[in-house]
Parts: sequence; C-alpha cells; structure tokens
Amino acid sequence: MNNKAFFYGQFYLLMTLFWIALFENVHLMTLITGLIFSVLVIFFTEKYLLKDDFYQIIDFNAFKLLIYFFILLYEIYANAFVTIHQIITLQINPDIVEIHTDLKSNTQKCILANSITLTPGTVTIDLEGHTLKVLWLNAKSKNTVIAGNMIKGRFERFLNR
Amino acid sequence: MREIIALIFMSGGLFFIGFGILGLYRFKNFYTRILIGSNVDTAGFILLLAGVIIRHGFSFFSLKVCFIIFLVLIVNPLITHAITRSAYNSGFKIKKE
Repeated sequence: MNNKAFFYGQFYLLMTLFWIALFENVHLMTLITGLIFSVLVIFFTEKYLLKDDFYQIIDFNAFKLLIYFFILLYEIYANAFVTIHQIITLQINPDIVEIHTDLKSNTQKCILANSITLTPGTVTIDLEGHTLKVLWLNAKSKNTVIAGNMIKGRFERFLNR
Repeated sequence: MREIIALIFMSGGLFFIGFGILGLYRFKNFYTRILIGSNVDTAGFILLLAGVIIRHGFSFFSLKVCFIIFLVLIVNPLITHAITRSAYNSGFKIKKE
C-alpha cells in the first residue's frame, strides 16, 4: 500500500510540475488547481482509456530514472565519439546480431530497447520474448553473450537492481 | 563567463551535427545512414539545448526546454525503430560498403 501511494504521489507531482511550467507562476492557487487536475486526469485515464491501473502496467521510479538518465548520457557520448572515428576511417561492418536479455517486466525491456536505439551505432529492430534483434554498425562478434555484453552491459546491470 | 560556457556547449552540439551530416554523405547504404542519424538527433541535439539552458539561466523557460529534451528522448527512438523495422520487414538487404 505504501509502495502504491509513493507511485501515484510521484505521478501527481510530475504532472503538477508540468502545469506550473505552463502557467509560469508559483502562486498557491496554481499549485492547488494543478494537483486537482492531475488527480482528475489520472483517474479518468484509468477509468475510460486503460484496462488496468497504471500501477499494474508500468513500474516507475523517478529517482532511479534520473540516475539512469546520466548513465544514458555517458553511453551516448562514448558511442558518439566511436561513431565519428568510424565516419572518418570508413572501417565498418554493418550486421544484425541477436542478443539475450534477462529482464523480466515489460517496462524494463521497453526502456532497454529504446536506450539501445538511442545510442549512436545501434538500432533495435525486433523484441520477442527475451531475444532482441539489433542492427550494429561495427559488428565485432556475432556471439550472443559477447555482443550482448558490449551493447547492453551497463544498461542491464543498472536496470536489474 | 556563463555565456562562454554556453557557447562551448552549443559549438559541441554543432560539432556532432556536422560530423553526422558528413557521415550521411560518406556512407551509401540505407542501414548505415540510419545508424549515423542518431549521432545528429540525440548527441548533437542534447548538447545544443543544454547550451540554450545554460545561456538563459534558471527560469521557467529553461524548465520548458528540459521538458522538450525528455520528450525527444522518449519519441526519437520510436521513430528510428519504426523506419528501420519497416525497411527490414519489406526485405532490404545489408550490403557491405
């Protein structure tokens, strides 16, 4: 129950922050109307648009997501410099590799696949069960374990915690 | 001082965008071009908007720019994935350069 209250609390706070950013002031009235409307919006979305509650569909933690954002930034820029080196030297070997992931929930798999697409040099093509099909600019290995460790190592270690 | 740091960030973004566009002309195949594309619209774009935030200081305007960055981080991989997957399903072959 406590976990559920925390989950919805961070949802309401994020939506209120968005409301304040659109109104560009921090009066008490804006805060109160923002809270009321965020509660209403989430209530009606769950009632009319979704089959389950948000709590059953996604697992979402704002603080973990913030730390994950910095890991993502590090990976993007490390891979961007590698890609620039490949653009200059033209030494590439594009190929499709299949990698295996141990993550269980759908949210974690979705975040992992989108992070792989976001880093320069790799694009996720398909996700079936626990297998990801990845297009790789410089395929050094076609082995599932070695290629998986090079592509998703840091992301999966953080998401698995 | 803040202006100089902001200009350094923005020119870093332009550096990534410039090399991304150079890559689009150096590679000839569809798949390699789409792989280079994310160099432009994530690496370059994030640095460019970070420069805008630093230049403007702490205000509601920078908060809105933060929201734009997060929106792009969510939407951008979906677009790349949709284009690549439709090309793969309709039978494009991977050619070596």
